[in-house]
Amino acid sequence: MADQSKITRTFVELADTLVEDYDLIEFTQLLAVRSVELLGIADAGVILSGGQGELQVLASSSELMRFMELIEVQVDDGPCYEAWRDGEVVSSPSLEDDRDRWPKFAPLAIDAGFGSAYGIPMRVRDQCIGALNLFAEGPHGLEQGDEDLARALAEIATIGILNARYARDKATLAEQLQTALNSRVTIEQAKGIVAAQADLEVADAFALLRQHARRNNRRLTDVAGEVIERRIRATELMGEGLDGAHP
Amino acid sequence: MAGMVRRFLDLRSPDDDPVAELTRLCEACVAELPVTTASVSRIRDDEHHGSVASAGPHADALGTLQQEVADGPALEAHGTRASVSEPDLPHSDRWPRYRSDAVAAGVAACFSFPLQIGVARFGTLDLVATDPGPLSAEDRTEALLAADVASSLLLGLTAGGRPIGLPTSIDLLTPRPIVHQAAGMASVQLDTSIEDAYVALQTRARNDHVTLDRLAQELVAHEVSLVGGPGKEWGRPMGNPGR
Repeated sequence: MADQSKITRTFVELADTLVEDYDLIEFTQLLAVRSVELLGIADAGVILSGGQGELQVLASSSELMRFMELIEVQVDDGPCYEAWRDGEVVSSPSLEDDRDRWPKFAPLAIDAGFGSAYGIPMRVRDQCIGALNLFAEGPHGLEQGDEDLARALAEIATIGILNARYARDKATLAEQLQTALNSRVTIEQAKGIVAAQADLEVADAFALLRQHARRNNRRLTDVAGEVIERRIRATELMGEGLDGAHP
Repeated sequence: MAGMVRRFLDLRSPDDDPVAELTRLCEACVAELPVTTASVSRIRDDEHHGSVASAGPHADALGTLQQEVADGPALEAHGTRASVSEPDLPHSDRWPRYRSDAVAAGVAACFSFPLQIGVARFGTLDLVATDPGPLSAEDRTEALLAADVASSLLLGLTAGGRPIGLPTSIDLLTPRPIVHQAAGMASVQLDTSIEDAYVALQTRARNDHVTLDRLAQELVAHEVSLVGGPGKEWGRPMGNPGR
């Protein structure tokens, strides 16, 4: 079980992020990252529905997770997809035992090194807007208490997103989602630019971008936009060094 | 799946070139949304370059009008990067240079949606109705989806090695993240705008007879560059796309 003060901090942090003009991508990314930390699992991700029955991958704690989620939304198979479709928690304490249940998804997840997976619906009353996807390396990645915590995380995030949505002038979730996805693309473009300018791997380029945004207390999308306009260059980001890296 | 996208997929044929596909998309908009005319405007450096595809009456004339008077909903949507909605054009005071001729042509309501991929902007999807009134939330969602599809079509990005005749989700009509990363890299290597980088990627993929996804993978893995050097020998397809 995660310790209580960390849990409380996360809930406050999630609530604080939902200011006016918040960034849906950053909010769901925060949800994914904190889920990994609090639940002690390998990876987490968030998929949301745009209201037309199509699912979009919003946030992932890693590129591998992102790939797994893209598979789920494309093949309509897997715990996250089912959690969204049925609005119920879907548990697979042993993916090995669920090969028949998810013939397309399970083998890929096992090959990727995962042992268990959980889909937590992002639901408030009868409205299900997506799902929180949790993957662990070993079997039985979530204990009972962890599952309740995951459910609470998903619920608070859902309430936040829906409230923010009503607060905005008639903007539908689909419109929010489109803006969010477009910021996601902007970030991908910026990753490529930094990677090419500094001859880095894309993942390292992303780490530099994120760190710069965090240190300067700016939105990742805004930093990405300036990178694309060449107002911030990779050398500038490199000069700041990477957290945890030795000088 | 959205009615508009479903209609578009029904209308298109495998032989369609990008302009024909954009035309099918406009036809799908007219069929599924309460509008009489749909068109795709090409806008570059804040200049309107007319319609590239359309369906319904007066589409080309309305495109040309915005081009000539350098004013109107398409340019505003492009400039602000946000959708523009005018449910009652005859009684509005917006776009004075555009309005009188448009109203004379029968336009009562107009809606423009920017075509953008990240920060890259290519134009707008323009919808026009001869009856006044706003688009419902559902119709706006449909129009947003149509704009996404139009952006990808304009760039030829939908043929990224996918079974394009059999998409099961809207996601199959839009490129994977790696393509956007590759566009960023290409824009540095070629010292071009991000818009031109997409075009360069598409051209290179076509010349090398590889899918856009494949080219993007190699570019991001630093296995291939868009500048100088002989063309790469493309062997068997790369295996694990997750690496």
